[in-house]
Amino acid sequence: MDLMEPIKLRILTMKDLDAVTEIDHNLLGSKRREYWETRLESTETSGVPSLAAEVGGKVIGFILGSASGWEYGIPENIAWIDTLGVTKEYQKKGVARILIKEMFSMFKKVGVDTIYVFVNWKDWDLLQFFDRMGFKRGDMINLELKI
Amino acid sequence: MDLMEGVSLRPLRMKDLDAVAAIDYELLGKQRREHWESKLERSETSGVPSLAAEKDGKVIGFILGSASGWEYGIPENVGWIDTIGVTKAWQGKGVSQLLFKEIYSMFKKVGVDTIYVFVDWKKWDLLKFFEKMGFTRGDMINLELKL
Repeated sequence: MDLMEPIKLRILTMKDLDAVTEIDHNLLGSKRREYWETRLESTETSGVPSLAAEVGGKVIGFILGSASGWEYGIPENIAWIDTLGVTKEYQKKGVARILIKEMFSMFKKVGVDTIYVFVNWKDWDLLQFFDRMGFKRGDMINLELKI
Repeated sequence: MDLMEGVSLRPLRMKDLDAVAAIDYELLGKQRREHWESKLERSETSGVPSLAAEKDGKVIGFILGSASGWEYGIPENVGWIDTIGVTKAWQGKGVSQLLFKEIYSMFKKVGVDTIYVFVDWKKWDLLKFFEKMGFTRGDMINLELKL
């Protein structure tokens, strides 16, 4: 981990809307401001932790958690990591790891004892990342239907 | 399929809050009115299909869809089935199938070409149901971490 400048973590809020939209745009190529507005809104009210990583006052990454509301019959002691985004120039520098580690301890504080993620089996870098973070295979099976 | 006469479908609305909370309570044993309030609120504004099944003016089941916002890198053409609930007295009578078939064509109309669900591999009745609906294994792997 060779970080040049100190990374600061703080709670993600609505004022990060521009930054989050920009990182998302940078990674996926589509502008989705309205979408992120709704997301950040529900994040602010939900009590579920979401974080921003800053370097020199600029948001360079974020992580969005979400608590289970028994969707798919998944109980409430389980939380999801919903989205993890790090701007390209700061990727592979341990930002995601810092975000996720902090998220873990925040989840723990609110009584969550299990974290779920869903990863495409072809996203090898993500699989490798979550393996390093200590994740194992879970019980949920993904089923799909082509319309 | 012996569908009883007189079961009708319509969009799920905020006025169904009591009915949905009651069905949820009956099935899971927990009162989660606030949770359903925010879910129904989101569902009403999102344009993503959600349905109620009614018999003699009483809600006997519901289905909640949700559109992908690239969570887990899943593209926008993917829709999710988030929750299906049918009151115990009406289970095993084809209500879920009716709800699913309708939400399927609604998804189709809004440009979704793939429907995802996540099911616990030990929920055999659900697996059987989705198999009957034509679902096959998808690409997403569930990973979990015990805190």
